[in-house]
Amino acid sequence: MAIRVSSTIADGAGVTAEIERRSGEHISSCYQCGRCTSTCTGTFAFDYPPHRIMRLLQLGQVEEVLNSRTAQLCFDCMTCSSRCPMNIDVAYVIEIAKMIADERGIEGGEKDVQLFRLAFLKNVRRHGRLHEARLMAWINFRSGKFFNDISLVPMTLRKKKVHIVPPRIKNRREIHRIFREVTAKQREE
Amino acid sequence: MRIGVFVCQCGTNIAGTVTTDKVVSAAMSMRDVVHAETLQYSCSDPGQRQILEAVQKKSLTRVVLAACSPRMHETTFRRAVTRAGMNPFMLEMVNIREQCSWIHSDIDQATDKATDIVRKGVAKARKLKPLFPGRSPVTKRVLVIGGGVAGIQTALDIADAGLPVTLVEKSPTIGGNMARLDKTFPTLDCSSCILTPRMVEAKQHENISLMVNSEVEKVRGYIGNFEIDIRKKATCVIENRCTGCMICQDKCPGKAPDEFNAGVGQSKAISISFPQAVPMVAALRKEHCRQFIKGKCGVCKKVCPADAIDYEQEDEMVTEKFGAIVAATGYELFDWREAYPDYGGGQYPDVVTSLQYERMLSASGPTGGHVQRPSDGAEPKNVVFISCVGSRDESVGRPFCCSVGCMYIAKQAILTKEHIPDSQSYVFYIDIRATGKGYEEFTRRAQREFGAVYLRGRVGKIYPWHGRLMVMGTDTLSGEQVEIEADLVVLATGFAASTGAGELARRMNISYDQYEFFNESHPKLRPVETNTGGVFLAGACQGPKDIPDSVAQASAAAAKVIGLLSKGELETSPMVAEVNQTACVGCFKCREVCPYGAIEEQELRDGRMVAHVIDSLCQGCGLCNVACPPAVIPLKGYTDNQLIAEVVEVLR
Amino acid sequence: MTGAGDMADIRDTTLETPEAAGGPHADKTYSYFPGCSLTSSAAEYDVSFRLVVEKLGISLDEIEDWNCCGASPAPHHWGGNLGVLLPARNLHHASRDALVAPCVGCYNRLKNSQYEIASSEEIRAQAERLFGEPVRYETEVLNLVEFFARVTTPEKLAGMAQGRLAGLNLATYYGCLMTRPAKIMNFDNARDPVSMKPLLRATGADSGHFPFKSECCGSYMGLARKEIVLRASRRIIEVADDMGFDAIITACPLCHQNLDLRQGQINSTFGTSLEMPVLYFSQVLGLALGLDSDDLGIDTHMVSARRLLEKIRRGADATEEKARVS
Repeated sequence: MAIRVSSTIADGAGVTAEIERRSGEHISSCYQCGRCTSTCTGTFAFDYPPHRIMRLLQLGQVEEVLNSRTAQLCFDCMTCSSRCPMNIDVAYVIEIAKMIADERGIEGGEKDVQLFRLAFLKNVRRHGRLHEARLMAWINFRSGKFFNDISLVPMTLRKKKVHIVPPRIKNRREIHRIFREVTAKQREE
Repeated sequence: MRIGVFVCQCGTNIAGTVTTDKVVSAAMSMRDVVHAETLQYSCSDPGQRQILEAVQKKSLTRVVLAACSPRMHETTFRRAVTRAGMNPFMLEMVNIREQCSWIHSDIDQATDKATDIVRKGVAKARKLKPLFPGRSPVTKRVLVIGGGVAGIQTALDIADAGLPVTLVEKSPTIGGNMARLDKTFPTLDCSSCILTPRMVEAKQHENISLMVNSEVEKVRGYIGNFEIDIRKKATCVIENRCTGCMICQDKCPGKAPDEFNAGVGQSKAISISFPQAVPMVAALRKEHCRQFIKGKCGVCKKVCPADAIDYEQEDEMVTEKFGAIVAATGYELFDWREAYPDYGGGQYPDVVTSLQYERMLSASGPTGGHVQRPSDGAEPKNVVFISCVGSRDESVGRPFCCSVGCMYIAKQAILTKEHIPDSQSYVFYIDIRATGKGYEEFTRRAQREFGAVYLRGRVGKIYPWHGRLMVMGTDTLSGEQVEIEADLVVLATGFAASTGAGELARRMNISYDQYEFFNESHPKLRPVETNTGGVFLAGACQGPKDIPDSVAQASAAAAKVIGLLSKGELETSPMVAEVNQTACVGCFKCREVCPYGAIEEQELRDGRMVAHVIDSLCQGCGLCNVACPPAVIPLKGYTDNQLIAEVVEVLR
Repeated sequence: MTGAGDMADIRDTTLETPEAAGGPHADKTYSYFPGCSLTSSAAEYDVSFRLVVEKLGISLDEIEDWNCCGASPAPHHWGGNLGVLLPARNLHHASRDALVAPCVGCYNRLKNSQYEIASSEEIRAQAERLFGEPVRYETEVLNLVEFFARVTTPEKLAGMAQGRLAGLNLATYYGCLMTRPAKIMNFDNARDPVSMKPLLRATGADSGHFPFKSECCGSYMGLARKEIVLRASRRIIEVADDMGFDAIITACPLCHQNLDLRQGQINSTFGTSLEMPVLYFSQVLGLALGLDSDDLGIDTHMVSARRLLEKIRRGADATEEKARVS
């Protein structure tokens, strides 16, 4: 099926403009040299490598971008941004796409990664600092991968790398306030 | 006094924002104006005829022409009124386009401003005086700076027209970068084979005198009358005794970097650059020579059968007069090492530049034409070519295209297959720019006949892996990350202006851009002239280009030079300074500030020493006019009275 | 651009000359932000850092009741300004002119937060609402390489190290977060970082060109998408191994975890037999200063550094032998 570019670009203009505005980058500067993709750490797990994300945005195919695994998975190593000959911060463009997808409630298929991120932040909200043991246990439990990384447990226990007792800061209230304030602002937007 | 005012519409360029009829009726009410009309296109044939007719019918004595910038057509209009019998300098041109209609959008305000501009022009016109141009003789000799293919071509063309040419080259041989190429695209002609006959012709031509190891140090004067200092650097070799036998190079114990071979292999402290060098004369580099560093060696002097070595030789300064200069200083390859640490930054011996690879391919090169890995001397199987290293890359400050990369990569891929039949070439490209005759077909041949695999994408990283190199790139056409285990990587590094180009430009008083390429006068219509009269450009020094374009530009520059010097004298502008010698107090501040040395002392009959302007040297810059304390050295065509009349009118 | 060029004389407890220190915020006591990893699974990083700091005579002032900086998930995966506000609380409570955060993740978030606060009045207002007072955010944030470059010089370090690490070839691994994004981090050269080299060379060790010095190790994908970490880290270690390095030196606890903790998983997944020790920058400095390797926590690493320590011991014996003979 041909992509009716005369329609897609117009239809996608809103989202593309929003991404450009929030990231400060010019998507049309990209001439598809592909250097971002050449050393992208996560490419093999992505559905669209970074240069294709840029192309999809250029052609107005914003739904593909917002629903992509790339947007969900990209972990900001910024190798792409550091290599772009047109000085485009590609990683930031992808992050903005992810944030817009989140704001629109797009769930996406990368459940484990979403789980990790949320679990991490909830953990921090609870204690003020990260309680690693609890985080790992929680994630394994929720993802159903009970025996994930079980091979590492004996060593880590022996070398005292995991603490059962959670680290708690005194002024947890301030942390809760930060989380509340941020969530409230989100609802405003 | 009968002044005629002509207001041009320039189609809609002016008429779109300025109501020219209103300007015309305003003009008619100005004192001394007896005729005013509007023209659709005053520079056109009918337009000029209308002006001519009006001048004759209405017996106009002065004309004010309101149109575009005088830089466009002032000369045209001066000629027009001359044909009508008027002195050309009784025409005053005012700009109501670039300075009015093109920059404003409110019609009423723009019309008012145009009227004010015309009023100002009329005020000046009342004060105009007829002026008569001078003549100055020209020196019928030409200086060509740079002995590459462009310099050689332009020198031959000018010399063939009967004009003596001095060809100055900073390295010990002419030939430039083209002499370092193995073959040329798209015909795969052997580069030296087609160039060396020209080089020899340049040396032997009766009208060309070759000065190698020389650089231009100072340029004085102006179009038709340059006086130039050239420094001949000491090479410790007596040129007319050296026979080019190369025994000195053979026996020299001092190693030195091989610049001709782009750093592949090593040369000696005394050497001849390559076997077909013109002139075939050795040159010694003191900074690598044991005789000069340690104070003892002297081997070359001992073995030279022609007794041509002289350690006492000193630099020589030569001053000559020329009528025109052609700059043909060529290009260098951009030094990629600092900008591309991801490709090893120069640490991997098996990552080479295109020029280094070219020297390896050449039978007269440091490897005798054997393509081998610099690290272990083995023949490479996988050769990877990377385009645009330092081109089209804003992140390293080099956004422009080098214009020859795509073509020479295709050529090198083809040659690789010819040298090593079981090799495989991979070319990383972004676009293929193949605009010349036969170029596109040539790039197709590289893929079809010689099996080169073309991958569209840039390379992100090269790293060493098990004795070879791993190249990490992308093939955007399939959308995949790709990796190649390479034995040798060739980088198509971008073009840069020759070292010292900016400095030379300043000496010649021509302008250059941020990359030190020289600026042409007009990008479309005047590609070989500069904004400095008498200085012309040829070849890659004006911007990256291939050999046919360089040669074409060289011949074009030659044509301009021949035209300039054909008459033997030049008409000089009459808008020069003139001293009011009765009022001059003889302080000579004017002479102090004059950049052209155009003011001299003159003794009057009463014994007073006063200033005098040499018409043919004065360029009408007006510095003396500003510096003179009693203000007695007006600039003809821009006298104080004329300028004050304009100011007063505008302020009314 | 700040970088390894900011050298300072060693801080002496009696010395109080900010000019000689080479920086506008030179102070003999630095605020210290350990971060969550250093107080749990990367404890040896904290321990070794404190030991070296003590040996150099600097005092640290741990930020009172510091909280998690939010690391990678906070900025983009919750919404709003969480990624700015969490670190901001730590900046607000830092009591000294300069702060050192050895964990590069924390360093990155603190600097990003500082940048965002400095450039947005709206964010400053938001922070003020939360903290009940105008937010203090101008403390100078240093990573540990910058910090050590400020409190000592290669010459002084070389004098204390006496070439203990001579004969070792160490691969400097900066990872992603120390230098990127370049315009905010404003440290070293993002495409070709070199800041670790002067101090490493001062220890007597060689520090050759390592082409994977700023490639990503896989970041926090270890739990959710392990293969990303294993693949990315595998290449880094394999190239270091192929090029003949004795160890990989890092400044990030997450990189350390991926390269060291998971090296066994890399071997079992890909059938490789890599044995590349991964050390923290502070541990290397500690070894150079003659501290005990167990005290520095090197024995808590998964990959044994046995061969490397053996090399150092042999080097020490040879030096002793030479001294005795002469």
